[in-house]
Amino acid sequence: MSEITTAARPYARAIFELAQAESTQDKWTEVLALLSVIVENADMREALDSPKLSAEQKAELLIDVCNGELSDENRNAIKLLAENGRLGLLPEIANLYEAFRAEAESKLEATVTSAFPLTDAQQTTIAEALKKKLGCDITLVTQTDESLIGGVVIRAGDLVIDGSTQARLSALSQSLSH
Amino acid sequence: MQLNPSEISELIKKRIENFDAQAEARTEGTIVSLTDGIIRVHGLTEAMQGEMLELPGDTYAMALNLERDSVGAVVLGSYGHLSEGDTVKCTGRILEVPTGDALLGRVVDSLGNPIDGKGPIENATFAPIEKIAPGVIERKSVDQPVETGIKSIDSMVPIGRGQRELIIGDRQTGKTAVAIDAIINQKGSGVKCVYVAVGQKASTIANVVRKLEEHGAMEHTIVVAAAASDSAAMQYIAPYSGCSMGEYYRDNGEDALIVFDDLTKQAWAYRQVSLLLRRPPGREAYPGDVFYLHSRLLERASRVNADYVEKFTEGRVKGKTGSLTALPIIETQGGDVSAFVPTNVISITDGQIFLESDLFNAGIRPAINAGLSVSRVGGAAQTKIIKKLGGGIRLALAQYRELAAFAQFASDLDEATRAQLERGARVTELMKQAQYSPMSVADMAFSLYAINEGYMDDVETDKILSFEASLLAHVKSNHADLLNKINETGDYNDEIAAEMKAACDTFKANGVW
Repeated sequence: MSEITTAARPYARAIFELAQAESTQDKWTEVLALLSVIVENADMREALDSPKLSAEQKAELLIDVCNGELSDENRNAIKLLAENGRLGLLPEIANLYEAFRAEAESKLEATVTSAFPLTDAQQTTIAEALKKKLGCDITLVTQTDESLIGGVVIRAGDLVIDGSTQARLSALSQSLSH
Repeated sequence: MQLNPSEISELIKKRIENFDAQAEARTEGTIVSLTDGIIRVHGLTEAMQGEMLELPGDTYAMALNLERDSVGAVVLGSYGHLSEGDTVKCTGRILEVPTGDALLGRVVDSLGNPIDGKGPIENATFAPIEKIAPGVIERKSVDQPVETGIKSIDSMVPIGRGQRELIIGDRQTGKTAVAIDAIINQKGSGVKCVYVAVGQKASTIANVVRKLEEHGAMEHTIVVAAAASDSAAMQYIAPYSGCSMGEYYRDNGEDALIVFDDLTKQAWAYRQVSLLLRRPPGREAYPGDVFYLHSRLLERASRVNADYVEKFTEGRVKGKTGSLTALPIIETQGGDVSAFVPTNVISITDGQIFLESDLFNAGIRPAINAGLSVSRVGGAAQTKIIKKLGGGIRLALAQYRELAAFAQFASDLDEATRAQLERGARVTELMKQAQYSPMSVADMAFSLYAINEGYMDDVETDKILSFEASLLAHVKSNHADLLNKINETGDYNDEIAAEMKAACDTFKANGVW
């Protein structure tokens, strides 16, 4: 996985810088998301992994499936990826592109998992607190997980703030076992 | 079911009351691959080099490779329950082990967890396993001896407090025996000992612990055990853990002795870890930093001055110097000291005790090669009387070896050569010493005095040891005051020489052996 990220990073950065220069960030987001879905399709994957098809054919296939939604730049990017045999990296490129974009626009998606559904007021409080702590705009995604018993777990990128009752209980059991 | 002393309702209640769990913010990652105890973790952007990582199931790992998109870490302990996709948490702490007097008499693993079934370790302080060695300003030169109680070592290759003296030799040449005797002899001297067993059979370690207990040496000793069945990571960190436990005494103005048994196996374990982390292999497939692996460890063995101790203890201990003496052990293959790891460690240490299988098989035990064994700093620390009386021993032995080889071809020898050969044979015989029977300074002084002054010249070679034993018994029963005086001061002057001469003369005239 780490190697995948390493290989995908230069493509993602190039695409992101291009998009920034041409102000086509939204279009690229759409296209990359679409391409990721297509590439992850089992039949498509088989075709793309097939040694019988040449790089151009694979690129054409992908462009055809997208059905005219693509700009010239999008097409060129696909051809380049196909030439280098990196079409399989598209989902990772899409992820990294989004990460670059979020960083540039100082936006961050935070997942809040709680034992019970959160009220709007609670969500705003959490978002405000996170904004203060991390210094960027926060988009909250909420989930519920009864096994937490109480409290919330907030994930924003690599950072995890664990304030759940379950975490406290497991910490207690660990401290008692030593 | 075994019950712990800590499982008392009151204690549990108190611990629950005092338990304070805050919401914790830390970075997390996921395991992307797990091979032979090495995990690769995606995420963990803020991990530090050497940081402890928390894994599921109360397991920890140590981050060793910080790469662009992943972190390579070694699992400390068993890794059977881990799988790809498991969550890894940063702890923000460098690996730490317990230190302090509570550990004395205990057998612990590389992480400081007790493995002797004597219950938890209470009131321990903690110290990181990797520390930078004291700097130039903080050091003091070596000027006090560590008496090993072994005649041949204390007279020919003396060891000082704060010195690093390598014990090197093939398998089955008595390397561990020398180290264990040195530990046993520290009983009552105030020197605390740490015995680090790396990659040895658990049965061997159990034997060592039993022997130490039998000789009453466990009370001042900590045993750190990373047996052959423990993971390579545990074997790799064991010497560092032990060193931190020894440093506690050094930093608090006391003296400690640490034995690393042995560093060859630690280098093997580190080679395994490094290769699995895909670091490039070099000579003998060791990674590039195998020299630093041992140099940074042995550099921590040092003598520190009173200022350092005062600063470290924040003024609690004043005017006392501290020391950590290291006896690293290296096992050679077929006497080859020019292999990679032996040459490295020889160049790092302040001298070596070279043990040979030929000598061992010839019955000369400890099998010390007097010609190749040296101590670069110990001479300054040697007890005065031993220095005076033992000075000629090394030379006599070296000359004897040369002459003996030469004399095999010559049929008739002149008187002087014959005398030298006779003396050499007797010195060689006298240097033999049984295991677990360390000698006091005074006993040693008497043995050396007797051989130097020619009292043993007319004793048959195979009676030398019994002569020595009878002489010492005679001195003990008739001249106990003299023995005490020598043991206390270690001085040698005309008065003492005269008393020793008188004692030897009466024994020679009346004694039987």
